[in-house]
Order: sequence, then structure tokens, then C-alpha cells
Amino acid sequence: MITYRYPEEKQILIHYAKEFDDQITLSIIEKGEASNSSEATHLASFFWRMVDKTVVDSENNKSIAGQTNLGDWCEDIMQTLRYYFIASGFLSEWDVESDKH
Amino acid sequence: MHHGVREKDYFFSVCRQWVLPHSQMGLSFSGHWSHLKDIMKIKTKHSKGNPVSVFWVLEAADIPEDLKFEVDKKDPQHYFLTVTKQMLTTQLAQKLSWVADRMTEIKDARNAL
Repeated sequence: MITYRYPEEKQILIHYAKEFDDQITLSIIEKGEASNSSEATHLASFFWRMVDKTVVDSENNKSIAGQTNLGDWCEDIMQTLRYYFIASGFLSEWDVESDKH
Repeated sequence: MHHGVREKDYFFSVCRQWVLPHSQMGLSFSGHWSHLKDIMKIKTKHSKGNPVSVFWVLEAADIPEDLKFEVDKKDPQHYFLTVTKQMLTTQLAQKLSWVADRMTEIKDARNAL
């Protein structure tokens, strides 16, 4: 299971998944896990797309889940997701997507 | 923030005047390139074109008393700079400042790495 250290991590992920209308990521977040390698890859790819959007939102001083230090939150979320990818055996999927972005 | 130390990074007493020992909390450090490159990517994207530096620290030589690097049990490529003995938050801030002064810096590592 994806275990969030802070509730804002999940709130931020959900915000962007909804903004991207990304039903697969929303499903993964709701389940708390990726069902297979394909979903794991999707989640990893979503994370990096989310990072790029947080850059735009930061530039516009946008608050997401009540937070404005979106760069710091991306680092926190990254570590939370890394914990999950390592524990679930999907680290290679994370690394592949990381190298693409 | 408490005396420059982020609330999320350490295990504080209720009054926030003390930092309590915890082997899995502390400033975050990458212990492997695979972890560092992800952090660098995020920092570079959020840097607004400004230089992003990487700071290196050796495990044994540059760490004050009562601080210790501990590997993250859930991510072997990630380390915490932990507190091993209860101390005042102000003392921790001083020790961290001491560490920062002794870290080697790679200035503008965006392209260097």
C-alpha cells in the first residue's frame, strides 16, 4: 500500500490526477496500490507530469491543498512513492519513467 | 520551522524546544546516484533557471557529536541525518549549520551531473 507521511501528499496527488482527468491514477490512489507493471509505469509517469505542472502553478503562486511550496512537496511525494515502488517490486518501472522525464 | 529546522524533518517535543532521538527522521540525503538524480530533477525544474548546487558530505569526518547518518530502512539509496541524543532545537540548528559549513559544494550542478 502507498503509505503517505502527510495527508497533503495524497491531496496534492488527487488534485492533479483530477486536473489531468487521469482516471487510472485516481483509481490507483483510491486502491492504494498499482495492480500490475502497467499501472506502476502509469503512476510513475503521472508523477513527473505532475512535477511539471507544479512548476507552472508555483510560477503563478497557486496554492494546492493549501500548500504553496510545491517543489518541497514534490520531493516528499517522490520519496513516498519510492517507498511504495521499492516495497511492491516496481522500482524498475519507476527508474525507467524517471529517465524519460 | 523551529530555529531554522523544518518541523517535518525531526522528532520534536510538544513544546518544540527539544529534538528527540529517532533513527528514521532527519535531514534527507541521497546515498546513491539513482536517488540524487530524481531530487536534482525536481529541484532543477523548480529552480526558475537559477543554479542548483549539490552538497557532498563524508559520513564520518564531518558530522558533529550526537548526529549520525542512518540509512532509510524503506529506501537503501536514501539517508537521514539523525539525532542520537535528545538536544535543544537550538543545539541541533548549530550542529546542522556546522555540517553545512563543511560540506563540499558543486555549484550549478544542473549540467555537471
